[in-house]
Amino acid sequence: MNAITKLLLVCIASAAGAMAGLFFSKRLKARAEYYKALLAFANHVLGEVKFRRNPIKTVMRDFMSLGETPFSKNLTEYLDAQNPNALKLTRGCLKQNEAEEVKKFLAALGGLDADTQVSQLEADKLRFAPLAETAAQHYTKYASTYIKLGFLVGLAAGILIL
Amino acid sequence: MVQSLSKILPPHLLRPILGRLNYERLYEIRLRANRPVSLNYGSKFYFLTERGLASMSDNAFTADAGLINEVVVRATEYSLYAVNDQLRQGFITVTGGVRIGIAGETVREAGETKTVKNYGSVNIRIPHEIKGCADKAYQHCCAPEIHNTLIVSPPGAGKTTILRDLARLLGNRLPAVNVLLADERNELAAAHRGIPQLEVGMHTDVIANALKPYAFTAGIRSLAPDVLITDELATLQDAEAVEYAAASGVRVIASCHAQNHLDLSRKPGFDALIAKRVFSRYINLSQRLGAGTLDGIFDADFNEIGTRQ
Repeated sequence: MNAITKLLLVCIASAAGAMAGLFFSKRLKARAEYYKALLAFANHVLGEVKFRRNPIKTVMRDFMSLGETPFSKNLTEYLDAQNPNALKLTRGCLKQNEAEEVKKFLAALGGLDADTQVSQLEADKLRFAPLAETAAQHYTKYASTYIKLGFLVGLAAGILIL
Repeated sequence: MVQSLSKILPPHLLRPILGRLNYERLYEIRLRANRPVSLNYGSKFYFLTERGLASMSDNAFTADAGLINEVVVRATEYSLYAVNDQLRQGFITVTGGVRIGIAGETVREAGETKTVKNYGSVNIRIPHEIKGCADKAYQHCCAPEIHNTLIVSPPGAGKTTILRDLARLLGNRLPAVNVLLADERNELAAAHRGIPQLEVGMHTDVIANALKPYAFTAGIRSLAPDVLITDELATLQDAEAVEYAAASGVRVIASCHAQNHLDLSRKPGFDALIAKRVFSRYINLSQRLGAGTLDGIFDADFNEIGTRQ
């Protein structure tokens, strides 16, 4: 194995490590954006329930027209569902229990009178706010670290292979 | 209309209705918890079975609380909060003018009904417009001059149908007459998301689900109607709202529950309307020859000017 091949191998390993780091970093970013969008959606619904009171599917379409977010896919799944109570959501960047919470949140929308729905949405916001904060913190704290760490692990692996 | 029902009813109930019945004769579908599903078909009640109608309840479909809840939730498009104001009054209007009357437990707070829960029964009412049913009333009350008119009858005698047809005739009149429909119970135009589901005329504006005093004052200020049409005057405030509209130069066509025009003076506020000659036409309706039978048209002095049917 000549020097150029060795160098190439180390580069490939480092790049692979960096890519793995990037993957985890993107996942953190997606989680942060997902929860940010979820909270923004809850606020959007709150505004609608308090004032305009459009049907929930119209509210969802309005929200989705504001821009694509990682949460949009779940909203599309809701809109396509025949019965929101039998909703099946893609987990995406969420953990199993988190996805279940979001499913419950979506399935419960529209089942209450306006006043109770407002209270419920406020409670939902309080429930999701810490998760959103944690996701945002993790992204700020660890996103670049994952890439660097991935690169270094790849580099080390490359050197070890040699 | 079929589309409206298919959005509300589960497939097993929809199948015999669409497959075996004449939609034109279907007036009501009644679901009551743990009791057989019944239909008002051609003004007679039958039970709904897999094979269509039956006089006996033996093979009839039975509704349960879950099914009734599902029907209500479907009718609200999974958005109960959006129709809660209607629900508090005991009904929901969906596309096609289909109106769902709901009975259940009312939730009260500070003396007011907040919402209805635990639905025990629903009555799905399919609207049937009878175009031309107000032709005779129109001739006496709106042609050529439009008179302030009060349609009087006991419940179920066709006031709403006549008023709707008068709105259609006036709203389509040329040269144009601007008509405002103050549709407090959303029965006249059956507006769904602001769009009238029944034909009420091309020059007709609709304020739905608003109390009459609001609809009258806001409507007159902002929409400048020539004619204001409203259903079921009942309270002193309603009578005052009519007086305000008439004094504003707007013609008013309204309806009210009473046996006939002679009974009106017993209702609060109506004695003043009669004394001030606010209405120059009174139309009595009855069910003598079926809903919408004209029992007489009278002027402000209660002289009969229209012949009985």
